[in-house]
Amino acid sequence: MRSFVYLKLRADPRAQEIKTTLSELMRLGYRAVVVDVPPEEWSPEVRDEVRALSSQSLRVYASVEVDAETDQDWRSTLARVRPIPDYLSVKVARLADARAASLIKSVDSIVLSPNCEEIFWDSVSAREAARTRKVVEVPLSPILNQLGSLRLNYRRIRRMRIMLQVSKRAGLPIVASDPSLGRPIQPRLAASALTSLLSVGWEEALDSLSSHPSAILSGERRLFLRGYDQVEG
Amino acid sequence: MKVKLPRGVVGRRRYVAFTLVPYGTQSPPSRSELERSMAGAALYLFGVLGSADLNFSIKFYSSRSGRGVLKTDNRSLPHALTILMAAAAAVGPFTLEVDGVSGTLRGLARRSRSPTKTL
Repeated sequence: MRSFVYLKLRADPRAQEIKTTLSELMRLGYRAVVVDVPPEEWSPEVRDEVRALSSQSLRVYASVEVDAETDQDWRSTLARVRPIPDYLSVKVARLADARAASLIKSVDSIVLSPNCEEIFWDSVSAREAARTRKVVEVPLSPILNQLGSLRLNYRRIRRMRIMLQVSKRAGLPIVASDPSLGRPIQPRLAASALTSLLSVGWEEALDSLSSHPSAILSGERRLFLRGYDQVEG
Repeated sequence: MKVKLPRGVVGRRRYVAFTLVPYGTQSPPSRSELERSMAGAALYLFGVLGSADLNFSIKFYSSRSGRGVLKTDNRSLPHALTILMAAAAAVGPFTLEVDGVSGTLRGLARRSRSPTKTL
């Protein structure tokens, strides 16, 4: 049986409501939750607070997403994120940022911005990201929210499909984050949306919600934990 | 007389037990409203030709509880779930919850009752 991971729950770890949200996610079939903390609020204390939310049936991890789309000085922001969280990602929307982010060893995932007006993720970046054992992340909620009001932007979906195809050819795993349509949805529904809207195969879609994020959270795919030079491929 | 088709022409049957969960105190939509919304969502998402490849229909639905059973096949299942999800969100402030998927109605009843659901 698969252990599904809910990537990037955006909630205050100190708030009382987070416990209700976590139990709701557990009811929906998730076995691990990654709580996203803004980079400016990140500290060792916040990490411990997030990890303390774990229970026997639900593991909780901390993540930080640095937004290269809005933050011009995102490399400095990334350098300030210490200690390195359980899951570190960079959201990109430009080719130059994508190339730079794919080279940084501590970055676990490259988030493809859904509000793209051009293709910014190419095979050079994808190959480099695959070599440094990253994953490519698709934020689902912007797409799903448009799905609810039947106002999908087909051009953006086409660009996203191409960028995912590029990643697939480079052997880069895909992970899906933030599967919510106003409120969180079941992993099966998130996989269905990935399959039918973004042309990701069914098994691959299930992997993107379970084994691929688990590989990062367990440290299996994290290069800096075991030394870059010792890793093959 | 029953129509006989070669194996593999049509997909294998799948029944999906679902519930429409409202955000507030909104009452669930009627069956015809949901069916209309599903047809609209299918045309919007996959077009006429894409929808022609899909097989989905509402087998049972209770507008009192918002629970129902969707009949589809293994090839159309991801698309049918996306259509149902879009239709549920388009018809009102509802989210879709899948209670179980099975190839038979008997299996579906058993699976929906079981507390641990598998994919």
